[in-house]
Amino acid sequence: MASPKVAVVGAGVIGLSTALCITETCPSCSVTVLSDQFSPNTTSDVAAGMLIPHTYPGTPIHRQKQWFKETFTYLFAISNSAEASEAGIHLVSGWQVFKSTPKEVLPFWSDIVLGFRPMSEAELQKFPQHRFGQAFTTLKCDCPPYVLWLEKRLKATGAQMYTRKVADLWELHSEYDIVVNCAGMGAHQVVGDKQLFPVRGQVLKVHAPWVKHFIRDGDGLTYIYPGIHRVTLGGTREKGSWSLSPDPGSARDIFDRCCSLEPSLQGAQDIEVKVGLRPSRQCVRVQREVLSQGGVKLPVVHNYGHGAGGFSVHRGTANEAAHLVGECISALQGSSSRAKL
Amino acid sequence: MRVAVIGAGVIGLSSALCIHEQFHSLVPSLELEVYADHFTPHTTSDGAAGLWQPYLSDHGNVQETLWNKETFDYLLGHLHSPAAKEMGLFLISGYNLFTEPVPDPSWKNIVLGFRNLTPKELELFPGYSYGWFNTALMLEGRNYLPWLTNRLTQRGVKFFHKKVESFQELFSQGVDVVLNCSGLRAGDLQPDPELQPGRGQIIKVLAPWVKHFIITHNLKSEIYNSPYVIPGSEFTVLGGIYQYGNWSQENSAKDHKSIWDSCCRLLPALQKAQIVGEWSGLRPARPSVRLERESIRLGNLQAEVIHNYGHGGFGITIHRGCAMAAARLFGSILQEKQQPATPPGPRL
Repeated sequence: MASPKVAVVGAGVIGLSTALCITETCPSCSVTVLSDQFSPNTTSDVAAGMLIPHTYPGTPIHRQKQWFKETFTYLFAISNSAEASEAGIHLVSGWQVFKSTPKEVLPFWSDIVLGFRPMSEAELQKFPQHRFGQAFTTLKCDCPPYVLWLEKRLKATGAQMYTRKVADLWELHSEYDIVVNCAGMGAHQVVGDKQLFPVRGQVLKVHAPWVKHFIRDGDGLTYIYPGIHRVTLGGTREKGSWSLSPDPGSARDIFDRCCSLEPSLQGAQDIEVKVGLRPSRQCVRVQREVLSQGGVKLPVVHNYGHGAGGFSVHRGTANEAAHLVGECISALQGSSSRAKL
Repeated sequence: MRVAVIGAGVIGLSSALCIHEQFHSLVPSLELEVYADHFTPHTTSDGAAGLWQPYLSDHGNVQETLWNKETFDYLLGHLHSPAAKEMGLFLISGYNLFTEPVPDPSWKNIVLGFRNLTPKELELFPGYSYGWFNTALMLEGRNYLPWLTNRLTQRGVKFFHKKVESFQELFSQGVDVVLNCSGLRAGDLQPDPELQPGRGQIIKVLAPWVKHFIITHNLKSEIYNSPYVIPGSEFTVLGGIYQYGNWSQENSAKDHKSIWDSCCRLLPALQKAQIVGEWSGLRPARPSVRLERESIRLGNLQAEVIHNYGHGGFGITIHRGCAMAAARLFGSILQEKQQPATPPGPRL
């Protein structure tokens, strides 16, 4: 197979980074990204893009750690280069604070982020309602810049991008040799995965440029993540809700919770409300599958279900998915040479 | 009781505020006036980035370290107040970088979360092999000075836009006490060979992705003669110039190139930053801060001057401690003035 035709469904951070990895590991592949939404209308555009991993109950910790480490290393290099501002990648320091001491004092990722240590008594005085905390430095991927930067890198490889709503992966079997499913929440419909469920998240994006640190309440519900131009205030976690409409009551509640963590936010301006549906699953599905109908086969690589932790593991899962695409190509070449006998 | 403050930078305004806060109810006749040839945004304090950080070593000057601590604690106490934004006050973390190990600074326990840098963090800064990370405060002059001015105006303090040529000029108008917060130009009022300019130049850029301060140190040369990057609330300050004895306030193309090249080497992403301004200022450098009383005989009058100048590149860092000390000196002047001029006794 001289030039395998690969379709990547989905143009959020997962789809684009997976497509980019495929062009890197398989330069002879012709890669096309198909999505009904592109930036700034993807779920990725709503997310703050903080590299603080979400723990997937169904994925072995060593695998999650590997994904996070690969992602952190990749972004660390970009943050330190001249491309950092265009790519929207920057370092940010801050605190994760807990009202009661957490069971896990050292999360699995504590040695991957920078300078991880418990907060001192003096530092904790800033958070009178919290009794324990961790200070560290991590990375943030601002969106849209990061997603747009991925699009630009992809275009430079010759990859194509089209707006198209794919209702069923099978509809692509005649045009493409391999399909990569990075449809995020869309996988619920596109592949009928009932283990995938939305966790609705509402955030506020505000102008508060004096806020230079992130603050995350250990319960994960309340957070303040300063981006390049805006600070993301969060959030909500509504399991099973499909609503993309902003809720004013939640907006007020998010603002109040964040102001109690960081009183200076009272002076925040230009408050924008955004909603995203985290494509949640017990474990991220990074897996090969072969669809077949009437003797015709279509190799599929799945890479979806990243829930609250997409940015934190995106490059790691993209690498794994690209590797699986490589396996699909080998299998296709193997079977095509067998067919010649 | 007329008190004149000469100078409307961070030192003059904060000294005026401390004195008014502490004494206006004790001294009903207190009239406070501020005289300056430059007001915000044209003072030296306005050009400074506003980072709270003393020099690496206090050279045994424990008093200055105490004033620094007093200032930090005062500001930290205001961090959650509604005034913080208006004051230009916020927390900021960042890096101090060295090419070799150095002793911990006098201020390591004043700031928050002081620690050494890990090897992975040092990878961010090729050429530097040692460093510190800590959380400190920013107090932006362009916000703080107007805030101080508003507080003073509310209290009825009067402002006069004029260059005072001599202490005598004020005393002959009926001023009782002068607070000399004239910064670098104190030498015009009273010769002080120890006071010299420490010229600095900075480039202001838009680089809102930079969330940390980064201060490099070259132990062989003066502090601030090595690149530094300090992100403010609206723009980021790039600097790294300290020229002792240079009185020029013109921006130098050579210094611009030096700052730009060295800061871009430090943070490659800065290459894409848009330049929005440039400024030169003269730090009022002195081996130590002059903070003391002086009684001046003028004819049959005894006039009191409180000197509070020579804060070099750490004026914002030390201002509150010095203002409180100046207020204490004022208090001692008041005490003495309440004593009769001669002890009571039989008149023969």
